[in-house]
Amino acid sequence: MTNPFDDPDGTYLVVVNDEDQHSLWPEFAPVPAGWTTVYGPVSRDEALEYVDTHWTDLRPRSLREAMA
Amino acid sequence: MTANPGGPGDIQDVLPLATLQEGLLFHSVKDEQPLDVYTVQNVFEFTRRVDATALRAAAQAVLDRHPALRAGFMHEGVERPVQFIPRSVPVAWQEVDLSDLPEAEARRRFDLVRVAQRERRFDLARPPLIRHVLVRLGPDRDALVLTFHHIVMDGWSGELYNAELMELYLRGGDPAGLPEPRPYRDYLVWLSRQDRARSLAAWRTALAGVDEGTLVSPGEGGDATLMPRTVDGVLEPALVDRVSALARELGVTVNTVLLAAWGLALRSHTGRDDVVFGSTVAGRPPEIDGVDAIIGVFFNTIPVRVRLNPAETVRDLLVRVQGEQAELLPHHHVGLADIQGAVGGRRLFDTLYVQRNIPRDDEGYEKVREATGLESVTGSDATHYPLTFVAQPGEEFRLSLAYRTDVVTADTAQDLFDRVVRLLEHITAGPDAPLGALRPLTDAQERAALLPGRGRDRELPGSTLAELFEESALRWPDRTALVTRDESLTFADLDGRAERLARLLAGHGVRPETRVAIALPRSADWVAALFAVLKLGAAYVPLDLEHPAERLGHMLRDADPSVTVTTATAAAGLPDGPGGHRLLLDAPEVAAALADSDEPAPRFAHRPDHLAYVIYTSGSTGRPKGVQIPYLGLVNMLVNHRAEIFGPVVAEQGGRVLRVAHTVSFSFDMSWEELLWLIDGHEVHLMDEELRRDSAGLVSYCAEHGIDVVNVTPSYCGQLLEDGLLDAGHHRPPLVLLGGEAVGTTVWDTLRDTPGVLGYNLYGPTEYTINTLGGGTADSDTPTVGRPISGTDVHVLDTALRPVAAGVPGELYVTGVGLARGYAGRPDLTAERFVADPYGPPGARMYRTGDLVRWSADGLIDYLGRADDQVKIRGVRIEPAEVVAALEDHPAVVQAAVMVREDTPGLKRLVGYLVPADGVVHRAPGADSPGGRAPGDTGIRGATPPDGSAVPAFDAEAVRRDLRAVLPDAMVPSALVALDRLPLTVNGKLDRAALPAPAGRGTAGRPPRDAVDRDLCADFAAVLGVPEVGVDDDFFDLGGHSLLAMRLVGRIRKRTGQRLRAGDLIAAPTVARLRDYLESPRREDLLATVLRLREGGRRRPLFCLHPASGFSWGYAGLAPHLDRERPVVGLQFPGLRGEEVPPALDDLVDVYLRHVRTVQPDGPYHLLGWSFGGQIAHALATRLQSDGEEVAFLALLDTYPMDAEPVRAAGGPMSEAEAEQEALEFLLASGQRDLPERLVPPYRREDVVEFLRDSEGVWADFDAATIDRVVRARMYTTEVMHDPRYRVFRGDLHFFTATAGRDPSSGITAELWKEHVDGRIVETAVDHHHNDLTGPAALAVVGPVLDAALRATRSGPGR
Repeated sequence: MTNPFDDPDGTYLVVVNDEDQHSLWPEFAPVPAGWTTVYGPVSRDEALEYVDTHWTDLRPRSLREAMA
Repeated sequence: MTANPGGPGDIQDVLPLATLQEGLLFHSVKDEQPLDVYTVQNVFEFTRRVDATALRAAAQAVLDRHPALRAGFMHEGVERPVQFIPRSVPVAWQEVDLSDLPEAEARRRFDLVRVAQRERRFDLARPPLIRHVLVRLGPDRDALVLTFHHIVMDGWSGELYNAELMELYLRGGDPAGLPEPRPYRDYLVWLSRQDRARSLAAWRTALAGVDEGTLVSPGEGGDATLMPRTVDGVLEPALVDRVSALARELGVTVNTVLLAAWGLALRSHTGRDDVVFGSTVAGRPPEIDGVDAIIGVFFNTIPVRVRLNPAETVRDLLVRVQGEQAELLPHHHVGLADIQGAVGGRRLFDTLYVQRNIPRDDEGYEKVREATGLESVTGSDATHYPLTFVAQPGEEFRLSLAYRTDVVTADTAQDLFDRVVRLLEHITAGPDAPLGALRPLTDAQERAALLPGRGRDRELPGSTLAELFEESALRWPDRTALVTRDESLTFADLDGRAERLARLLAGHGVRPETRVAIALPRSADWVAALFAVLKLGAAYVPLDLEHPAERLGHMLRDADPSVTVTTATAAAGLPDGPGGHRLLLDAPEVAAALADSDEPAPRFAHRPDHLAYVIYTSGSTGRPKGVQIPYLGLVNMLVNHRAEIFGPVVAEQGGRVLRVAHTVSFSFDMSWEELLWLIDGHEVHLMDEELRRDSAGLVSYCAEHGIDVVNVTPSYCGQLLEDGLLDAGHHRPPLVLLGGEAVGTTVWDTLRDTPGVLGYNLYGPTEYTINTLGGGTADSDTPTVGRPISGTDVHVLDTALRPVAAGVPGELYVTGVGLARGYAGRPDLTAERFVADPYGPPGARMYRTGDLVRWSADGLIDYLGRADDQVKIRGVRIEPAEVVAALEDHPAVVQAAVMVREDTPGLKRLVGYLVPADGVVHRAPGADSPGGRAPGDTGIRGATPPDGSAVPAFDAEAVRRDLRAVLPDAMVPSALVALDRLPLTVNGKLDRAALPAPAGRGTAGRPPRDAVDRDLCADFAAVLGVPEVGVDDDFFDLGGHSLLAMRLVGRIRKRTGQRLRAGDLIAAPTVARLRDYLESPRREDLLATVLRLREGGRRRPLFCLHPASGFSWGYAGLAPHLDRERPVVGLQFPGLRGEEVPPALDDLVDVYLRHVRTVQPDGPYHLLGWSFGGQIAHALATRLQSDGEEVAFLALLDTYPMDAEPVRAAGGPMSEAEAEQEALEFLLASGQRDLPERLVPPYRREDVVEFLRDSEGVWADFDAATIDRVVRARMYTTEVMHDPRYRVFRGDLHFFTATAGRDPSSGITAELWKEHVDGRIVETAVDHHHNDLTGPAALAVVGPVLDAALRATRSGPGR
């Protein structure tokens, strides 16, 4: 059983919520409420590379802003 | 009515069986039940009177025309079963007249006839295997009940039979003019010419990688003879049209669409993405002309494999399945048993898909109908499978699902049936939809599946955990919060210590969102440091000091703490560089700064999403990853535990304070359980590194200290149970918390069945704050991980991220207030593990655990295993990829694999497989003869050669040693196997099944030298499960691990009574070294203030006070003389450990008093002192008495009151030089080696250090600083006695006088104590020197006298 997030040949989106948290998301499944697609559909590696370069602060946005 | 085949002359032909006939014969003869499920029945109903003679003649004619219908079968006395065809067989014919009966009664009797016919077994050796009963039902209503065995006729042939029977009936039974039928024999001939090997290869390819069968009834043999029940229905014409249209559009058959729908339904029922089910195929090879008209058995049951990837579109799936099935068409004739045999003999499926594609001559049927009044022909047949799905296309598209009632309930069957129909609707909605969009469950079913995953909402207090702790400290300042080996802290103490440290940390810039690494030994300081960090709202990062420096370095660089709290010794194990400011708690300036002021630490604005801790866990990318946990979940955990665990257990115990043993490493989040108890005002006993790993010691500790709660991994729990944790006769903890790995049934059953004990399993990945699920032995008879804790939701989802129904395996996803922020510095890893939650509030995330679970019917979660490679060894989470990465980094290794093996049941171990670099082939001698490859040889080298003798030259142990420098112990494979290449499956994946078990290593080491060695070697071998062990073989190299180490020390203890800890084996892992160790004083004990000389036993301990040397291990020889129930505890000078010692004797007595009270909280006490120790013992005894405690026993060995005149006259305190010489002499004497000639008094410290280092004994790594402390102890103990003040001891004094070398005129006698003792002085003379009083000879006198005196005290069992 391959997890839908682990398919090396799969097609993925990068979705983001209000807290700027990023999530890999398999293209085949509907994007859950409260999440917006910011990248994709692309390969898994490309999606993760996007996350790596665009999500540079893991703190939730509300915390980041409160601490700024 | 049946014919006897008669003599050989009557036999027309003897033929082999078609493969399917073999299977049917097997099922029929295997089973002696009356009901043979392969008995098939067709019923013809006519609306007018049948001409019985014509019909009987017609039946006979059909039989005559088709030899296959006359076949009989033999399997006994022949090599392979055969079928014989008699030249002629009279038709089996019977007539029953019910026409005189009322219609209802006639119907009832008719049904009985049908059932009787169906249930009457055919004797396959007595043809014909077809019976006819003509039933007269009424004046114008007749019926023909045709019953036959499937072995002579398949469904298709049945239709041919029916048509021909009616045709011949119309002709009055005369076959003249009908075309001569082609005999079944022709097919059998064709079959014998097929290329079997090629066909088997095709099946092997088609089924490659099917790791296990798709079974709805895994435990069943699949051969029950119950008549199945059926749910059925007719597809709506509109849906039928859409199915046909879709099939046309995609160029596939309707059958393929139905096959896929059934595959999807099975997927939702079994939780598998790669499903296999049986399918019956017509099996009529088109290359045989006229094959469609042959009556016989062609059909076959073949495995149909459907791989379902939720990302694939319906279109792609259908086209692919059609193609895969077409490939196999030429191989449909291979029998199922042969196919299964070709792929490893596993049962591949236990469900069946049948499409009835029976040719029906509608025009001919109409003609017959008109001519004969035939109203209907209904058939029934059955299979032995638990589920058989039948699709019957036609004007009415009928679907039916037959189910065996012993396996499948009516509701489940109906539900599955509905799922197929629903899936057909979804499939036909659009071919470009991904499979993941198809919904096998209804909305209501999905909602119901999600419901048990909702944890309770409980209101969280506004306070932080630190505030809750401070509240407890205010409420119960004097209550004991924390007990360690060395000290006991009240809540006020602990809070004060944490507060002072917090102030210091804040001064170093620690605030919310900054990290503080804690690199301390397990001590009260650890807990204080943790609370100090919490007070500041910062995050702590626990560092396990036993991890290799390289790994710690990675964590420090990654976590980037602003401060690392540590000690001088612990810091030595840390890499230089990362970690921010190093705060050494034992540095004088830090101690001074801490003591400086009682001003509280500053407080910072708190947010519950600030990080509380970062814990590192094995990472599949080859590096550990830091899980960042915010504060919110910690408070939630406390709230949950109060309601679910603490409340009930404390109430059960009458509301008292419970004692909680802290045994878990702080680098696991599981270590929080005990601290939550502490926050709620309970007393936590922190086991040191040694004791927490010493199961027997831990069990004794729990009994002696009345421990109420233990929190351990299930595997460790198993060991504790073996060592008597729950035995009757001593205090039994009412609560055993389990966590960290799956619980086995033995542990669960024991906890469940022990009265007064609750077992509670807590499950949770590090990525969710501490616990996610919890369940106890009161909730479930079998091991369970329970249900979600409060504030927590869990989903069990399939690979399309849809919820699965109860009982179906799926992957566990968790979400809620305890969710981690992510992995420090790894947004990519975070984004792939913490993913959008489709079932939570908008924008919520969930963590995918990789754990396979299923919901039980009563809403508990059963843990099934891992969906990925992650493994747990003794509770430690391990990503094999990280171990593989470390192996492949090694210069001697080019490729590696790692797996967990359980070659001995109950013994899981990590085994590494590696392909060595370069051409260094490390073959065992004699194992590489050319052509010597055995069948199934996977090219493995280094595996045990057939003679089991040699070991490959590849130095696996060297690689293991190198691994230890980069991986924590639990991640170092316990065995490494060198291979030529890694075995691969057909698909090119690692073939785990082909990886060999590591050979039980033979030993080339030295054989045992004597009986003591022999016994120890036997102990090693028995525990390791190997034939023999040499005296120099390393326990851990032979596959030993910590649990086995405990087993080994337990075994040695039972055999010899010698006290040994699992940790000792790490220091002395070979028989030779362990023996040295056993026969010498314990090094690590030597400096401890509380030295347990003998543990266990129910009586109160005898405390033995150290002499002027500061050491008390000299008393060890006393234990064998004393009652086994009497523990012996030595007290040693704290200055030996470098602890600061108060200058006055009274204050020193205070220190000892605290230690004594920690070991034994209340009286009566038993004290013994030799020499200087006698002074302390007397002082301690009088102090205890003035505190109101009872002292039942005081014994002094040759020591005299210092204020007595004769003693004063004998001399004052010694000089530093004298003290040094005495101390050095003492150390040299302990070296247990003859002194070299150059070592003569006066001794020099450097020479002594060198001598001790070379001695390889227990003192070997003592350095000058330690020796300095030994010297200073000596001086202190003489100086402190300057001005003693004695109080009167109330009770008898047992006194031992050393008479050898004594000056009788000195006036120094026991009588001098009369001033300070109000009871009797019971004197025993011992004819030995003062300095030898604890030698074996003297103790032979002292011991028995002490024992008798102790037995005479009125002290009963402890506690």
